[in-house]
Amino acid sequence: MFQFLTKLTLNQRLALLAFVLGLVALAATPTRGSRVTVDSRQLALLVANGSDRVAARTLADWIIQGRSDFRLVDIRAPAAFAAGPHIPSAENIPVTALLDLGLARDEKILLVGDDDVAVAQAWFLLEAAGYAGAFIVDGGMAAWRDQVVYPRVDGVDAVVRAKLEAVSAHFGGAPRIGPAGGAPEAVSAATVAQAAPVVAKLLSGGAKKPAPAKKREGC
Amino acid sequence: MSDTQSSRAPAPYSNPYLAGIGLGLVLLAAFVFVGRGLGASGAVSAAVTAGLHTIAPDHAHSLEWLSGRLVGDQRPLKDWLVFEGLGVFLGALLSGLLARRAFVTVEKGPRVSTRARLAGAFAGGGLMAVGAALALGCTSGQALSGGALLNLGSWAFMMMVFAGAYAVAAFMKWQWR
Amino acid sequence: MMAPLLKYGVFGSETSLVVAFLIGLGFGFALERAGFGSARKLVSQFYLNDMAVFKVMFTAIITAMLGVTYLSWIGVLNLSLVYLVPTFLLPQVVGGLILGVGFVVGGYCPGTALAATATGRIDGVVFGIGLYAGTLLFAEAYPLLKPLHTATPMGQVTIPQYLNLPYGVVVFAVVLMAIGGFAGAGWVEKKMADSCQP
Repeated sequence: MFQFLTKLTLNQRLALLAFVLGLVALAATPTRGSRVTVDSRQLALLVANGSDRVAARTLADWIIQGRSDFRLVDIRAPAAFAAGPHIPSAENIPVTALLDLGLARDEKILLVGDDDVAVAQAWFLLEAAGYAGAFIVDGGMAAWRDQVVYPRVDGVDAVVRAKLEAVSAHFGGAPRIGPAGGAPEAVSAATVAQAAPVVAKLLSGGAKKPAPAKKREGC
Repeated sequence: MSDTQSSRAPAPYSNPYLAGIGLGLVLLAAFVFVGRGLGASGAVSAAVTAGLHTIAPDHAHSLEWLSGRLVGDQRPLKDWLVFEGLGVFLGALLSGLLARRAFVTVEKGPRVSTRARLAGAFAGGGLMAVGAALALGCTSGQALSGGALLNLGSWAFMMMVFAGAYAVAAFMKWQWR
Repeated sequence: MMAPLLKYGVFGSETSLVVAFLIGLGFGFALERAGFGSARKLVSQFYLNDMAVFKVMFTAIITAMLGVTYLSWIGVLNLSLVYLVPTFLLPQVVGGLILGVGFVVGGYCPGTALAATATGRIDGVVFGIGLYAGTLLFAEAYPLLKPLHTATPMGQVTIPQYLNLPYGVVVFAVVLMAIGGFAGAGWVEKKMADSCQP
């Protein structure tokens, strides 16, 4: 056989190579990326660490500061998202569409929803697919409602209370006394006056980064 | 032909298949490193956008086709394709110098005037720009890159390019007389 | 290791500009090596004397295509993250025809015009100026052209998807067609050369 090969010209050898490669390629099944490999130990550590969780109140601070280094994804069904209140700057993206978004792998992606289990499952999906920047907003929409928009302020000291009131006012809510569902307390003028410097302090803190422009692709 | 003469003559072109393999490997590198193909017409539209934006920014924004590139704090010149274009220029220069094929000249037939050939070049460029804009790419972006990815539109485009070129070739022979 | 490397965060978008430059370097070098810095050689394709354009283009296509197929088969390359230009059938067909005409009228395409400019071809420079003029014209006339430009959208679709064939089968078929084409091209060149002999 080698004698046959040596008799070929360069071009003929190239053609033969191409033919063989093409023939073998008949069996090819190109990956379109739906198989993931999970580093189970690393993932276990992440879970034990709890470092991939963001408190609702931290998120509220970030939004007030105008931070744009993260994406907030609400995984509820579109009907639920449209019907109920949602967090400002949240994008409604169902779990099935998450992986097709073209998210950057170093982007911070905060997940929120009204089903904690679904949010945790979405977190796992993103982590497994290599998106190391996935975070869970602790407590989801319920926490947002009960800790940020309608925070409980009984038995809380004045400084903390002022801040809670300022934040909840920012999101169109009001603090309450007593368990969730109780009547929101009227915010007194004095409290609002006290709140102004607190909100101002929140607004001045934190770097305001311009939103990164979407990179265009293609010719 | 004396020895000194032949050593200064331009080197013969490479075996087209070898050059093609080289080109294909560069294309593959683009896929593997950046997840996109090569492309040239995009650099032109980026440059046009940037240039227009400098001279007449309001007008640039009013042009629907260009304004998409001016969104936010995007600077069209800081575009992947522009840096690639720079590389293409230098790469070709390097190869041309090595092969003694780099010299200032106008490629044309011996019996046609320079002016006529340049008019042809200009007209051809204009037509090609319109075609590339319509098709979302040119021979590098659509035909080569899309072709390698078995993109449906790219293959249709590629066949049409050859069809269009062959159809009109006879009428353009005068440039090479 | 997973590719495309940029999409997996191996390097940032600033570094990718350096990568762009290096890739362009290879691109320009390969183009000029093949003689595509010369309009004469390019248009010879369409006078059937010199089928280099066809040979180089399709060799490049099947090289990259086989590379992509194998790399994604072994799982190194995630094909879904490689950008596929969306198919708009009608404008791409029309655009292709216009581009083909422009190719033969001007003697270059954008990439080769850049290569030609680099090696001193003034007609390459003028062709480039024509490119800018044409692009500006397109931008100004866009309201008229928009209906054509956005007609028949088919999304990102590949030939295997469209014909509902396995990817590998289409790859093999393309390789066969290319080899056949190369043989045919060689035959045509020989015929033209023979007929030119006095």
